[in-house]
Amino acid sequence: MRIHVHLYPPLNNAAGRSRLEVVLDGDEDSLQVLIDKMVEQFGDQFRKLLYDDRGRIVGGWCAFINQKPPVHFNQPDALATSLCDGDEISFLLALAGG
Amino acid sequence: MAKKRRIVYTNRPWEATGICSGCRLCELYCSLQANGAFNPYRSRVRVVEMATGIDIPVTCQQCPDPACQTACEFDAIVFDTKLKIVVVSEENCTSCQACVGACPYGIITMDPVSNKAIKCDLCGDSEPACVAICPSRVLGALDDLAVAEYNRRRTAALLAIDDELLRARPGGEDPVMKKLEKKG
Amino acid sequence: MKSAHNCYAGKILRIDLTSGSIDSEDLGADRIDPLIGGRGIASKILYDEVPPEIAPFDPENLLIFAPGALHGTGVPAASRTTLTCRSPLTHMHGDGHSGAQWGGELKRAGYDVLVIKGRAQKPVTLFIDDDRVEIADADRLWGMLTSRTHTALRDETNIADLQTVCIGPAGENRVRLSAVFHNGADKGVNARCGMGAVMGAKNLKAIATRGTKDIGVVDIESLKAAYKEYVEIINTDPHPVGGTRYGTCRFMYHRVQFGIHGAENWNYGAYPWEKLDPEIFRGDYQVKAGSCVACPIRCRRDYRVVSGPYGGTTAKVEWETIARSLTCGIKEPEGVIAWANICNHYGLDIEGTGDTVAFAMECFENGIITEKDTDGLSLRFGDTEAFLEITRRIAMREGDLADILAEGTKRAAETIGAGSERFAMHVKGGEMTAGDPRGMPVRAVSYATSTRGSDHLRSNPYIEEIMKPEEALKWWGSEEAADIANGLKGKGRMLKFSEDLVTIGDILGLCKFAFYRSATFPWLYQKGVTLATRFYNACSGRSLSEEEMLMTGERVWNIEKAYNTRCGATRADDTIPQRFFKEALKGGGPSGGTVVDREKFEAILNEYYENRKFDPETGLQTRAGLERLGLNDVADDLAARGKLFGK
Repeated sequence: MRIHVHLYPPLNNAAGRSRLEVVLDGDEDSLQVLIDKMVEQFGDQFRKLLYDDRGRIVGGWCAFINQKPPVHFNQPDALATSLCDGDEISFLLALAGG
Repeated sequence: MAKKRRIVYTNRPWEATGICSGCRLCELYCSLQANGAFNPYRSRVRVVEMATGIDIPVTCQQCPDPACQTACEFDAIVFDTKLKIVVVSEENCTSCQACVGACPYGIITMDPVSNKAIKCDLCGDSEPACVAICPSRVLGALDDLAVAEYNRRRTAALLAIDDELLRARPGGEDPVMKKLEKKG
Repeated sequence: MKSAHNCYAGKILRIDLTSGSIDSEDLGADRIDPLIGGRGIASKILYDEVPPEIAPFDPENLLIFAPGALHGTGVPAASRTTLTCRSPLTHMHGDGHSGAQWGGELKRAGYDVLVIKGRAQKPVTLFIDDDRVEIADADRLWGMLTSRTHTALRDETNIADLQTVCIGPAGENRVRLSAVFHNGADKGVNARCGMGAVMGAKNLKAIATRGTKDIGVVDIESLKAAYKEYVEIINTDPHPVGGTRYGTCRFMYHRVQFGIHGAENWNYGAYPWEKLDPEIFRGDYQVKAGSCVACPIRCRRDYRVVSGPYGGTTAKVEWETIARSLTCGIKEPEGVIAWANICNHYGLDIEGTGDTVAFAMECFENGIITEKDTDGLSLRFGDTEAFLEITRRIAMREGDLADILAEGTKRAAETIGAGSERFAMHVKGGEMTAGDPRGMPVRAVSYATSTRGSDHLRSNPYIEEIMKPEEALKWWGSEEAADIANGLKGKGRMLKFSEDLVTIGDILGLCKFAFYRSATFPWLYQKGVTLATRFYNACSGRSLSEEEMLMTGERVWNIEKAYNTRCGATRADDTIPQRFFKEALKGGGPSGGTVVDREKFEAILNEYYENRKFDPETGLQTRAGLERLGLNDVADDLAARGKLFGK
């Protein structure tokens, strides 16, 4: 399936681009699979933004799928969220502050 | 044999964060290194804020034939053979300020607490505190060859200003040539 | 308490502008032990010396300048100086924090705190030049813009590094939306709460300072070790990077994705924002990516408009400038930069001014104000010319409408009446800030409980966005506290913690973006509590535990709460504009159609009061809660005034 990805800073800096299309070939397509694919493509700098030094996903990220309320990575099973062909997904750091 | 080094503004103006941010951490940590306390007025590197909002860190150019040393009548500015720069000898300094007036770059100055002349001494050959702390990495302790790279660029910058000004002139005529032609 | 080597100057400078007296007193352990510095010491002085019988424009109101305890040291981002007074906007506790260098200069001159009382007969400047303190005539400066005031003082004294604070025409005109500016228009501001007007009411135009003494640090090695750890975190944590790249503009992406702009006077959550993309500010307008003192993150921005009707304008712009421009319907960058320029030079706080103008715009759109009232200005959302002109008029109190608006949103609505109250977006008189709270219950409550009117910087309720459920369970006793939209239990506790946490920052003078924003809770705690405590101990020579540091934050919060109670605040004032409860957020988008759920709001507020040891019904503090913090004198004072729960 084809996923349209929008990366917000600083992920876009590490990836060298803000928008991309990712093709997932497997049977199981979830946020985790999408992230794994992008880490594979963009390497260590990208991975280090998403995972802390103990290898756990950084809770401050969230994913907006098709403009619906976000999936926060600090929630259990967030990354198991399944995806559909053509989904538009934005990755944003949730913690803001004005 | 140890090379002479001096602190240079190693700016990368093609990067938004490759120029001085004005944070003045260099001033804070220079004074800490020199005196064990924080005080920008006792720092040997000073950040000058220009009217345009640009900030530039300036410090001793470690001149080979220093005007400060020439001006001093008390042997308080002496050549350090290890560092290959001149340093201030506090015990000889009489606070007369002759060096301060003589420095063409406005660098050597009076410490408001000790009332002695102060100038950059490369932190006595340990890693210079300003270089270590600068978050934008725009300060470097460079040897003569590396310094020359920056000096060359700055010489070119002066010439480039000339180009810019002349390009703005209608007709693009060379005023110097015109004058010489008239004299014929 | 000045040791030759610690971070304190050791004295409080007291100025009485009525009598002209200049005195100093020692800053002793009796203040330092419980309050540490900055906002902590300032809040207690305000409590002790400005009772509710003293009105904000009375000469007896104080201006208390207090650099954070660590300001002037090499602790990273220890850049903040607090200004505290009784606010003419809210009539309650008022303060604001600036990131410019003046506070450090005050300390180097020998003073940790500057307390100004009284009123000068004519405009004056206060000069502090190391040991020389003088009150001098300022007639020639009165009327000058903030920028001109600074350069005039610098030129007159011939001190290139002179640090100043001053007011612009807005403060002179006692505009309740005015602020106190540091080093001219574009360096730093003590904003919110109308404090510029108090300075204007005292006829104090400026304070010019040079200080050349040392600020010490007791344990240099510990300082350096903590600095190293701090740098490791900010190099790993993805959160600070956005600030370095875009400045605080970066928050645009957050507002867009969550759909919480507060556009058109807090009517629209989703809104045409594309021309205000941080990439556009960065690419087309940025002239300087700067830092506050000692800060490695570098999120200050100066932007310039090169051509067009506002060509040549350069201004310091922060996120809230853009946010409040959207609140007025402005959708493009040049209007934002031009507006920032006016506010900065005339001496206005952009938060309060933006909301007040938006209030006026909504009144105009609804026919409550007409062109007759505006002297021909078409005061509609999105009209940049009207936006700029009404702002300038507010600073100068030019015309009846501007004169009314200069009183702030709350009073303006009371004066205008005719149903305009429902357009007045403020909490306790302090105008709305940051993003729309609909759909985010804890954020909503945090605006209500802030001790200086609506404020997103008074707490850090966004912890819920980064905490994992198991962390929430450990800290707040409930996993659901980490669930933004649906969780309830534990959120009150979390809010209390986040308020105490951020108060530490203001006490020490640490920037919130550098210490109190992270992508994970462990990093947040490590910076904001653990390293903050280690930095303080290294610089001061004391040995505070993290619990004691958090308790200091709690103590200072309680002093401010008591101050507000004394000024007449009750639980009824811990609320947010009715619009957020009653009107569904317009414009669609991710938060479109939401309201703040009243039941959830009250439930979180109840749990919050319980954790703060306030009586949940009245919101009043209890003796047990105050004495636990050593605030026996505050408890006695409240009891004597009938404002303590129980006895």
